[in-house]
Amino acid sequence: MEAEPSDVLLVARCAEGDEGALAELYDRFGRAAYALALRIVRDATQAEDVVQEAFLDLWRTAARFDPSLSRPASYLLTFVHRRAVDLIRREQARPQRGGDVEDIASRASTDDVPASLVASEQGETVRRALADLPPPQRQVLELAYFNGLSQSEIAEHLGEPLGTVKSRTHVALSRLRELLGEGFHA
Amino acid sequence: MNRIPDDVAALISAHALGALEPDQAALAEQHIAASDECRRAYEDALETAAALALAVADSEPPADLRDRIVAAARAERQPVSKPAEKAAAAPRRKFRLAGLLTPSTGFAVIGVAAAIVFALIAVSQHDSASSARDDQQALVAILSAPDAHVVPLKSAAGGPAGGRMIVSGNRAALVSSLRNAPPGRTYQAWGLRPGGASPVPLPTFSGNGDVVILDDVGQYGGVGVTVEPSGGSQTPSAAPFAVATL
Repeated sequence: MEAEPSDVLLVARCAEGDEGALAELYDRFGRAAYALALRIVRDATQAEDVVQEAFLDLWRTAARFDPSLSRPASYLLTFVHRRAVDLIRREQARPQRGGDVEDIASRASTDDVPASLVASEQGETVRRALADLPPPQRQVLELAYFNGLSQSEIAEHLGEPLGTVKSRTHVALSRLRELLGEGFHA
Repeated sequence: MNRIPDDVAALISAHALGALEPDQAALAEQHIAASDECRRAYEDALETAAALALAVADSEPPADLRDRIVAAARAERQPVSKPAEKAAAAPRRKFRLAGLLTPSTGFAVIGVAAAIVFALIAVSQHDSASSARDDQQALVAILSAPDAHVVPLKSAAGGPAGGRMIVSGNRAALVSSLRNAPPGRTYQAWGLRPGGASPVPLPTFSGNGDVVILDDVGQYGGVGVTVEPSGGSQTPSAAPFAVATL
């Protein structure tokens, strides 16, 4: 039996116009992509649009993908994140973007999602790492990444100086990277 | 290895999280385009940011989404322009220089840089073969014209920034030496008009070795470059980080 093609090989096939490779990448990462989009835009239809556009971003740019710089999953999820954040930023009318910070870390043990739907072991690793961050650091990461707030919006939301938010965000991301360890790859 | 200053490192982290306003994002892109250390720090930060995505429990998308994506991808393989490309007012004229800038004889322009031995390849997949040929001919015409001259792109601080333009008459070839644009972003040229008139959108390009042919440059006081979302924009999302003054 042949080994499954690597993620990187699938992206290379996309660059050659192989739609089957795109479908295979969807089978591998579609659920994570949709979950992220839904978490940010909080609307199923919009989340579908975001995921579709993100996969097409990957499709269009597959020839430029550089496996020495990033991994296919994070490359795709970066597109998903950008598309989703762009969407909520355009929707100025969307109420209370900053007012509803869900504490992802606390869901590590209390989530009642069926086991089959819980993200991989990797998801558990990330939730544990987030739980290990000091709460203020976790908070700025979540406000930025999941709520799509800019640094100045976060400063305003928290009532803290912009400089504090900037340095705290940087420390938080660096610390998260350490906690995840060198061996961890999205 | 150069150490990245703290404020730049913080800027790069925030950018990886998508948490910068457009002007700050443009500043971050400049650092990333200008320094290998910054580029690496950015890619590392993007990897960590993407790990955050995995903290969200998977959700099951609708069953037909997979087929819709594959169908849309198939549709894009046809040589029709994508909506995003229609956004640019100027026709997309872009190709890539493969081997380049070796000293030799030939083209008149090269009081500055020597002639260009070039192979024109990888025309954007959405360009037709005939427009690719037109572009090659346009480039040859520009490079070999007696009046061809080089205008460098400069940063606001006056330093060299990301490439040069070779101008002949009313046409120019913009040759990029920028690093490839990050995922989801593209470089875009803008025709800058005097008197504060809004910049005219010109073609997008992705990075090092890209060449875009610009027509009717005589009407502009300069050509600027910004970083835009993939597909380009109708109005620049920040002030140009590089400008060639015509």
